[in-house]
Amino acid sequence: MRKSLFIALAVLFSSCTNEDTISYLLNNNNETLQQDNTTNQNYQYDIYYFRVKK
Amino acid sequence: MRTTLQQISAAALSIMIGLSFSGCSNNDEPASNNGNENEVRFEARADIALSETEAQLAKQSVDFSIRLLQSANKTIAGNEQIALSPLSASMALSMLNNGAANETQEELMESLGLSGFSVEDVNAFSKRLMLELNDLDNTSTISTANSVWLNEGFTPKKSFTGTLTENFDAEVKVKDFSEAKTVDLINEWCEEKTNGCIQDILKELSSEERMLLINALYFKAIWNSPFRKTEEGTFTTFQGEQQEASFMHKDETRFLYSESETFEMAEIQYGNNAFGFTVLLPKEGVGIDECIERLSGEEWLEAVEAMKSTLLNLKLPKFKVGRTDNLTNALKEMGIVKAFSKNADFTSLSDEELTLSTVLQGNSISVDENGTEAAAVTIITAPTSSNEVNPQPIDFHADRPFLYFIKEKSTNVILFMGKIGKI
Repeated sequence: MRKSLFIALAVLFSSCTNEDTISYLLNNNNETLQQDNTTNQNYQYDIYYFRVKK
Repeated sequence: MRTTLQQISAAALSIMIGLSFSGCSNNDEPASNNGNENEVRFEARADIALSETEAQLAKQSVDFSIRLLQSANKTIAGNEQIALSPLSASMALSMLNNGAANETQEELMESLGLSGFSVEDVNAFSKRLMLELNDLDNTSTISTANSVWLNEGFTPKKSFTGTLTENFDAEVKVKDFSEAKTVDLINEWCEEKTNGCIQDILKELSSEERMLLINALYFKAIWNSPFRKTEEGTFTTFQGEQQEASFMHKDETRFLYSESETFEMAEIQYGNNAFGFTVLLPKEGVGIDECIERLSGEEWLEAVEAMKSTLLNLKLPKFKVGRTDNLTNALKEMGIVKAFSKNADFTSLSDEELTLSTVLQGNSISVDENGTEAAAVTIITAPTSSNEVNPQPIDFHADRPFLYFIKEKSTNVILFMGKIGKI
């Protein structure tokens, strides 16, 4: 915990102005940082068929 | 003043506590650690640093994406739902571009919005995207795979296969298309490259085909903040019918948000924010097809760049779309005509007189929440912006037809997009 707090302090002063960090925190408003299994899975394929001209 | 200091202190303490658990660190620890499989550490996001040429190519890719959506919406049967991958389509067309020559190539470059760029620039940009997209978020998985399947007896030019191997990491395989096991081999390749998701893409293969060019793209990610509430509700379809649906929702929560004359846009972020799920919701009274028709790449980019952290009451239906479409007509609609005709010029690919016969695209997207088991680590209270005193949340309810875009933050390259006109 002490180590985590130290890291947190270091990160705070080094990257707290980082827009993404702030954005990340804003987006976690009143949420815990624990993840559940919410997932998004997507896949796609393209197939191009070639033939000899007739 | 004291109150302000207290607010700042409280916010700073929240940030410190949050960061101590959120792990905005640059270490190489895996996403799950501390002996708790449900805990995820997001590593800090980094931009893909683009050169001026690459930035222009990225901008053109957005324009291509919107035009592809418009063409698909016009030409695909059963267009109440559309699922496309512009990244994959443009990557496959870029591979094809290397085999095209003269007017066929000019037409391809123009349709991709790449007139004025060299084929080498396009190849190099595709290579960078393939290499870097997968390293942006330690909690997301992106796999891109390309392959060229040659019917035995067909000999492509070495310069063509060499370019595809060098720039697109394409595997080149020679098989007898008249043998049934070739279909199995191609299906196995696709299955392997998409984590088992794509199975049996081919049922049969005509020995008339001389070559197949296949691109596969797989993306899996977690929300950076999970939805914890789901409720049943009504979705009004594009035909005005009422349909029951399960809505994930978050109230009084900050999301990136913007609005234009005809639509609102909100973004739900994945993992460390490198990728986002952007929902484009036409304003009441604006039809989804009208919205698609009026949309341009420029307007889409303006809306994305205008998005600001805003308090929303957001509702999004869980949905799953899986479909295979013949994109031939959509590509023709975009101006790629010669490649499909007797006038096709693929002399950079082979000395044989080739023409493109068909283009199929299969796509599956699933947006939902699968699990709920999670133990609390800590709670973050978001600091309040100085110019927002008790802001009223805006309702953003995707309970009518909407468009979605899964995009990368620094380039705005669209990986997947679609239209949900019904659930």
